Amino acid sequence: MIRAACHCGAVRFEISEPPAWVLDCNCTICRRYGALWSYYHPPDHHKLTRLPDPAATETYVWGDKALAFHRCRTCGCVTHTSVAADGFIFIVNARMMAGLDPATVTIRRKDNSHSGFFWTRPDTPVIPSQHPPMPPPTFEDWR
Amino acid sequence: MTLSCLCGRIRLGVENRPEYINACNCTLCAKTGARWGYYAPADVTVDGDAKGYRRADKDEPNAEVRFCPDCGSTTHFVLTEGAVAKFGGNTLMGVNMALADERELTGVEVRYPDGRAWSGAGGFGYRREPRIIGGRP
Repeated sequence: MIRAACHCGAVRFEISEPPAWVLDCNCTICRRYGALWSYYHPPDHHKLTRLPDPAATETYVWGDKALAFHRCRTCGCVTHTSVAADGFIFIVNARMMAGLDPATVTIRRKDNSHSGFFWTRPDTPVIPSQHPPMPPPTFEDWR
Repeated sequence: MTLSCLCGRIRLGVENRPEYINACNCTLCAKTGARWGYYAPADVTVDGDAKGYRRADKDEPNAEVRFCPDCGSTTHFVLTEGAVAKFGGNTLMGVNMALADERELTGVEVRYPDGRAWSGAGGFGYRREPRIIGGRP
């Protein structure tokens, strides 16, 4: 069993085993969060043996509004992602797992920015995006 | 350089690129996801009201981490009053360079402090060799 928590400890998970791999996405939101995502779609959802108190997080929903990004109300750490429509939690930010060593876990890097740039170590091939490039930013745009 | 959180509510302006960037693995840096560039506070403009977090697991935290109250991006840190007194002035501010367009950071060195193993006093070690953005990996 491993534990994952935001910095202040208000948002806590217990997970039955460490992730075999985590995803580093360089899209406009993921690169700002600096997250390493660990996925728990069914049938892996049972690995989340303790889920956080829903009242401990605030959410940000954007773009196609499919996902809600949860952060701790107190310390602001982005802890997990849920289906916006029903709150089903299926992605945890592995940066919250104190025992996880980013130097040894497999990091899959997905090039959703179409830039090839990642902050994490470059020892796995970059996975191309299945999404088209976003339109270039305009003066009205802060991406 | 202009940096912004995702939703644009918090915007930061700096005249120059940072001398270097720290990608630290301490719990605060790792969990906030920040890659810090360091500046004199007079050299940074902040537009928008960010929320602040001071760690409660230390009696006298040196830094207050700021983040956007809307999209949640970590934007910057400022020294606490205690740190300003200890360091003899408001000498330092951190800006999260993960908000930047990396093309504007070409040539800047990324360092990898081993903050997690740091005792809290004296210098800290590094967990791997530095890397130059835009250079060979």
